[in-house]
Amino acid sequence: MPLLARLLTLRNSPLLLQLPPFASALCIVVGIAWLFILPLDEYSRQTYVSENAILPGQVHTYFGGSEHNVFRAYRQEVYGISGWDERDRLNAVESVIRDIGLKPARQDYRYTVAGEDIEGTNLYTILQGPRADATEAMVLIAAWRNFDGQVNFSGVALVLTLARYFKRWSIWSKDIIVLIPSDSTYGPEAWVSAYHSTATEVTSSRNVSELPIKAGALQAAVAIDYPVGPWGHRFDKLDILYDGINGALPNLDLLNTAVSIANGQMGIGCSLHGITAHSDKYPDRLKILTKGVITQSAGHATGPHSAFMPYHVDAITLKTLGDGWHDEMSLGRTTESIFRSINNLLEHLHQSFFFYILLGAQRFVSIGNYLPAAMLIAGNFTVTALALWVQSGRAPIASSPKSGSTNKQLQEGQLEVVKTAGAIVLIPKQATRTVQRQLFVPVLAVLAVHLLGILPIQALNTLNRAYLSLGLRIIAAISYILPAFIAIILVRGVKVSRQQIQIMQSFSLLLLGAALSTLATLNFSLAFVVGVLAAPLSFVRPLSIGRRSSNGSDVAIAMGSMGRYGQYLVEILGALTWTAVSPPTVLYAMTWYFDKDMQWMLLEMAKGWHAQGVYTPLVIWSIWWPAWILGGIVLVAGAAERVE
Amino acid sequence: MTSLRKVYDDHPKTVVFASGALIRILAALVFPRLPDLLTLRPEISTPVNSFKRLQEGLFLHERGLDPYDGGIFHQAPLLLSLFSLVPNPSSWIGRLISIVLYTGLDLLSADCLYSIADSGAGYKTRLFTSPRSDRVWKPISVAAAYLFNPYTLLACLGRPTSVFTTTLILLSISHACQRQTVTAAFALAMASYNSFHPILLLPPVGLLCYDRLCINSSNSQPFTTNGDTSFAPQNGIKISTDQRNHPQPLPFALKFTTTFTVFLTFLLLLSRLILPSWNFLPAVYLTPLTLPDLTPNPGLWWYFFIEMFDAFRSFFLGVFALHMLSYSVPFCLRFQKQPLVAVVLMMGVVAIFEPYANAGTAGAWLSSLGLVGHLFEGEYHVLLISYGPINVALVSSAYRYTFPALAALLYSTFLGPAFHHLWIYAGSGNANFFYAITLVWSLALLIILTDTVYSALRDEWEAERPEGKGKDVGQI
Amino acid sequence: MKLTHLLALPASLLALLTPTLAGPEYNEHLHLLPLSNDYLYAGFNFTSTTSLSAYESHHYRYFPRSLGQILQYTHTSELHLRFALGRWDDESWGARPRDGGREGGTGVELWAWIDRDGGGEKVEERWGDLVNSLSGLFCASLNFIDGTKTVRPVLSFESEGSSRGSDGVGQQLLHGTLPNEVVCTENLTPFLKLLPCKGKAGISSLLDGHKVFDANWQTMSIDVRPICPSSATNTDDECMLEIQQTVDVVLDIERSMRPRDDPIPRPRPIEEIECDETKHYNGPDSCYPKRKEGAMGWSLSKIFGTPVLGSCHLAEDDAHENVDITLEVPSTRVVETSALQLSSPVVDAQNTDIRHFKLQEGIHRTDLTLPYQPNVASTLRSQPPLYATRQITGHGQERGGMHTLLHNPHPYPQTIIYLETLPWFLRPYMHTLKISHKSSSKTVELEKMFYTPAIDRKRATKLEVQFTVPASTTLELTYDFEKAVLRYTEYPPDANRGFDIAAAVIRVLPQSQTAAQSQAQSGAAGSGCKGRGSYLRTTSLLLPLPTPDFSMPYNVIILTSTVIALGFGSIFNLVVRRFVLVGEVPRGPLHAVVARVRELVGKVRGGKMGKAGDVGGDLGGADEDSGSGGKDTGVSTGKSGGISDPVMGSGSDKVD
Repeated sequence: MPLLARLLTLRNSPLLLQLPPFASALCIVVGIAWLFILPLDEYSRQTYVSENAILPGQVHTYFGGSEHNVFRAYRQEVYGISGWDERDRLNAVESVIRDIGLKPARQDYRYTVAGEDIEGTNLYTILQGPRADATEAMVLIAAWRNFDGQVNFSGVALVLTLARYFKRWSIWSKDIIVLIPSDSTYGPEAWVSAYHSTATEVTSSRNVSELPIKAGALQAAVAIDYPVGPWGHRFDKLDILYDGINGALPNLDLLNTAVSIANGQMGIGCSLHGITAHSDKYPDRLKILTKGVITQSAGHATGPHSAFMPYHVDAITLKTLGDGWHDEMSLGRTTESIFRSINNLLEHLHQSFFFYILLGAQRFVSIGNYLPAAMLIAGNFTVTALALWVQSGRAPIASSPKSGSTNKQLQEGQLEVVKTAGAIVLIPKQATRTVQRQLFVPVLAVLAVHLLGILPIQALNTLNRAYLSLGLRIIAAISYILPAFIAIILVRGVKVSRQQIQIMQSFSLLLLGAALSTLATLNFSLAFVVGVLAAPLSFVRPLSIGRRSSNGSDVAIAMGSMGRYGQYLVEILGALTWTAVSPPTVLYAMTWYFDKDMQWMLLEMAKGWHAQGVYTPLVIWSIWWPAWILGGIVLVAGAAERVE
Repeated sequence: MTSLRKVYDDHPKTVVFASGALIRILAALVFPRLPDLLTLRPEISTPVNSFKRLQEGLFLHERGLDPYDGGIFHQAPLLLSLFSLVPNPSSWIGRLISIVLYTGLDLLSADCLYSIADSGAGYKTRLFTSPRSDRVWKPISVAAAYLFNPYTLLACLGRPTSVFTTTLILLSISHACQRQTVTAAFALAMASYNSFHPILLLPPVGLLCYDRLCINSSNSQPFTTNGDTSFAPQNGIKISTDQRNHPQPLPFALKFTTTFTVFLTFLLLLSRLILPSWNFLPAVYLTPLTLPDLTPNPGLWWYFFIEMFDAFRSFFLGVFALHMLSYSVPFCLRFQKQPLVAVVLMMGVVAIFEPYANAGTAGAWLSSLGLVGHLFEGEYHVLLISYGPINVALVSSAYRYTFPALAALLYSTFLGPAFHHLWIYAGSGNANFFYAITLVWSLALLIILTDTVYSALRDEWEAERPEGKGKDVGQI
Repeated sequence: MKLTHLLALPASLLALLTPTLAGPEYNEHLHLLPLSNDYLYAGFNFTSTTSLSAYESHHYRYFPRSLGQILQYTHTSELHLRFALGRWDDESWGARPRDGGREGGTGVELWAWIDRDGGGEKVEERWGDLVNSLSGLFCASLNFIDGTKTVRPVLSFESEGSSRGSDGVGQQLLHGTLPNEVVCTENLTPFLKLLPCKGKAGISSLLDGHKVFDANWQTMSIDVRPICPSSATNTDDECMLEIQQTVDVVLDIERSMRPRDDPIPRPRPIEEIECDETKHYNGPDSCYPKRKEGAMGWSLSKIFGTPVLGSCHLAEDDAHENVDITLEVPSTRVVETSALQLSSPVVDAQNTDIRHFKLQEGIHRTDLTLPYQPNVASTLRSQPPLYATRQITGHGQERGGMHTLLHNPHPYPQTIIYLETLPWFLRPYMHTLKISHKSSSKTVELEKMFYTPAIDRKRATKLEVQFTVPASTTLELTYDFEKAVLRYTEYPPDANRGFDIAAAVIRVLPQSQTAAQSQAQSGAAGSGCKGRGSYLRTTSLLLPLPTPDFSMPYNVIILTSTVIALGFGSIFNLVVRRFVLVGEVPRGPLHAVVARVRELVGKVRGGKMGKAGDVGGDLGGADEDSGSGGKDTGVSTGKSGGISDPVMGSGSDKVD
């Protein structure tokens, strides 16, 4: 108890009251800097296979010889039918599958997003392993069109050849499902969701038919992306795509298996995020880290494999890059070896890491090393929230008409009063009464603004594609008008005190901090990015321009012992950063940076929301946006006060 | 805004209760999937109170099978006959009706809280009047604290049968405060019939009844509730004068206990009538003790007994059960001056340490802390923080780490479902993630419980020694 | 057909009085049937009988002694044991052999009728003995069939035998499954040991582990049943005890004809693949493999790795037509037989596609060869009574749903009985059980339902429902379930693989009498196999359960206990102690000690100063705790200067 009392005396020291802004600034700086030291050798590790059963590259692969001729023939077939329309094409592929001696099955799917239809048919077949008892299965995918929209000639042909080749082996202890979706994003999504559901209910935006045949629990999935025509093309490197929807990642063991087989057994170099020239030095590592963070925070599908991650099925995509001397057979042998390894598995992949940031095909950072970055940034909001909470305790005096100079005497006066036992209750009386009312309005405001966040989500996900960018413009305009509006209502109409404004900001920041730190465990990158973008919010204070600095005493504290002008400067800076870093502006900035069309991006986001279940819009519009609006309210509230 | 405030000022109770009911029903109407989703959440539904398991038991019962001859259903038999009356909640109308039923329960609980707070049992008892009695929460704010508590809100939508227990406990307390001993005993009997653990509340509630009866018998002139500590000693003296026309403690205790037992046995016999066998006794009342079902919940038991070595399992089961038991009597002895505090504390002990803990019970307890709200100076200690040493002393006499504890609760509320998702669905995190969060949750609740004990004792002490107010204290 | 055969023989009945003549019977029979896309079904059947009287007098001849003793010891009147592996492909292979009556779900399946005399616990005990001794006999972990894997079905199974007098009334049916048991050679060897010829001669010589367990679908079964002719004919002691052992395999012809020395399926040289010349791109480097035409050539010796060695004709009066091998191929198909004599009739009268062969005595190696034949009218197999698939839906390890599809291809409705045995850690919610049409979600109501909910760690769930599948429709049976979390000691080493769920047993009641139960009570002897209807089983399932962290029991115990101790400690610390102001905290004994030490220090200082202090110090040193010592020290410290005023003060207080 005494120690506790000491701690509490600490609370009283003015130093501690001035500390928080700097503390939170420190949190942000350290958090950002943290990410930049990760690529160093001290903080990253060499990858390793930790599942014993997987034995990567331990088997001799026999895929070759006459299979090569068969492959060429199949590729000719695929090339021949590529021009045909959907139905004939499917029939042709089905007949090939039948010739192999397998039973083809179909699944139609249609998504309707923003007035745009995404239609297609998944064609798949199940190769029943002789040793298998229909309890486990692995998936071999080749989308008809790869992620960039090219026809995946060699990929499909290779998959068919492999199916024919695998069928003769009696070693399979798991069924092998060969899946040929029409596209690379929505086909797999429809297939895997139907695979895990009893009856898929038809909604306005989503119509997915059921699967006629199923196998057991999916263990892993490997997609092949090899869009090369019948004339053939030798590739240089194998690009391994691993990002799942909402930043979910496959088990690191699967990646390691692929890399070690391709590298060690077949001698094919592996790359990530299409960066082929990768000297294992700091800049390259940093580049890959940044790309990884960006793709992960977007949370969208990056290939046919992405759809499998939310269902706890580890999946990767093998994509051929550049022109070198590796041919389709070596890719086929790589796939064969990978499937032999997965076939060895006794348990579902669980040994290795699920949270990691890759710096290269064979270098990674584990969660323990990188999580603090996001946590620090989320923590800075909590620190500020606590500080504001404590400061709001002083508010009734601060906001009372008396100026700061008389504040001191008032305190002494109180001191005197307090000393007498009888009257001690006087302060608490008014204090509690004020507090009881004080909490109500801020809580209500925070809740209301967060509920408002539903509107932009609804708008951007239901509007027709034609009006999307217009909708965003309107939302942007509203988001800039809204804070002033609400602030004036609050200050003039409801007559909220400075203290209530502070409490409101404290609550909003507390929520933001908690939400971001939770998000950091689900999707680190998204939490980090949003945290950095929202960082200015913890420095926003009511504008005190035109008022005597004593009234803006908390600002003075926030800015340490700065003079008035410095304080104005800081306030203006805060206001400017607040204006600059808003959700809409950031969206516009992104379109400008990646020079994409805004409508295209919004459409993609809507598709992701409806068809893939990406929750990034939710994070933006109902975590970040409300916090930003509340920050604006706090900002304007000061000015509004002045006017009255 | 002002007109709203006017309406509120005119009849606050109606407004608060109506809006409380409105929120619940609107939530069920606007998000029709929400109730069923919450019914499946492990934080709200546990094996002994899950609404889905209740449906299963109902199904078996209606087909003439013994629902207790199996590992799924562990809830009180009379619930079966009650819910066989309401339509099947799988249809939307049935769901709505069940929601309305539970909303009614919540309103009843809120009303009980209102009447308890109104009776002033919190700050003015036979032997004692709190020096902070001027800071007592208004009854309406206590009720509001229950109705708008997010945990109770979610629990109402999730429809676990532990809501019945909460309501019955509060009912029994309010009856105790209104000196209706028999009905209090009956409500408590029903509560412990429903979920066994409220039986631990028997001593404190009995004490509360006794206390109220004494106050009634010693018809002291009505107190003015502007708290003046100088009343306390005179008050003590006055009471000592008319000690004789108090009911005798021992006979009263016997009477109370026997009433309780009679009602309990009556309920058990009644449920035997609607059931083919006595199977329900072990199924309902042995499950919380032997913990056969280790489904995750926010409590402390499940992971402990997953990881426990078989040799020591029974031993630790006994230890945990005794540990819960061990609070009941000491609280009664120490807090005989303020029995309501003892009751609330015991509710807290049950909410934190019960084998199948859930957020609903914890939330109900947190709200019922408002009954003793005058004790804690949560907001107030930060309000006064900067006025020099005295106030620091005040802080140390107030709740000491309420705000950190509440922040911890907020964080674990966010992180709990996230980590559960990582463990169960994403498969990327293991069980320790969720376990850690349940630890944090229980720890935060424990801190609040301890602070309540501290400030209640401190309050009592300051009543004896007003000059000690706001000074640093040690304990011997 | 063996059964009718037996009953048709008055000779055997008459001969029972003198067992030496012709009591015990032994028949063996192999049924070969090529299936579509180059699969071959081979069904071995070994039947031997003994008279009940001989059996009771421990007089064994063809009936295996080891098994017989077990049955007698455990009072088992009827036994059915199944070892199964792989999947039967309904779509392309058609109806199952023997109406599915001799197959089991993946793994091991065992059901038996045990005498009920002596009460329930007696039955339990006997069942325990039975599974334990059988697990010893067949090298299978049958002993894991305990209470949590045993159920008592009501509708699904009927006594095949007809034990005179007590028609299944005095007996209790118990049924246990072991889905995660991997059937392999160590189970086949004891199986062969039970045969009279021990797999050395006759068709049983074909049974080689490598080939049998390389099959796509394989099931071994042992059925023991008592047979008594309907009491109209004769006296009591002519009851027979029959044991049927069957091995059914479906072999991939191409795979099993691979030479033993080179089993690796390398890509065949390009010459061996016949390409499709019609393709425009066909050329030296690209070759579209033609679809296989006609029927592949095969021979017994190539497929089973060995020809039939000798014969195993044991029955004395071998006069009657005793068929060893039945080949079911189109009559147009050429069959070369080496040293096989076509038994009369050469071809089956009603079905020209069926040819019976008989092994000749004294011939050592017998083979049967079917050369490749380009165009053969494929024999179309009869359609299976029902198609059934079962899946677990939903993802995540918290809850899921069971989803069974039942498709009735026939133009008439069929009544089926659906039996599921679920382990206790899968908690089904029966109020969510729904049987509905797949197309139009119109629900079908149950006709009968027997449900035994599980008890944690004690009893398994038994779900047995009877309903009718309308003509040529697909029904789906769904219900939700919850996955329990086990104690960490209850998980197997490969906890993250999941747990196997036994196959569902589906019994399709025969057309003639949909209400087959009534007639089941009245002894199924008359109705025979047809009367029992046909069986089929779904595939087994894999149930992933949430797993705790196995590495840290100590940490968990410590952490949880710490939290609880924290609460307990701080609460009781507050409750038992009382408040005082800091100022008035009385000094504990420690203070006295400190004071004493300080004094000593002071004295040493004093000693340095002068003699008196030294003496005083001695005195003080001599008797520390005596009053005089106290006074003395008091004085001496007084002398030795006031460094430690409070201490001295306290010291003097003590003295006074």
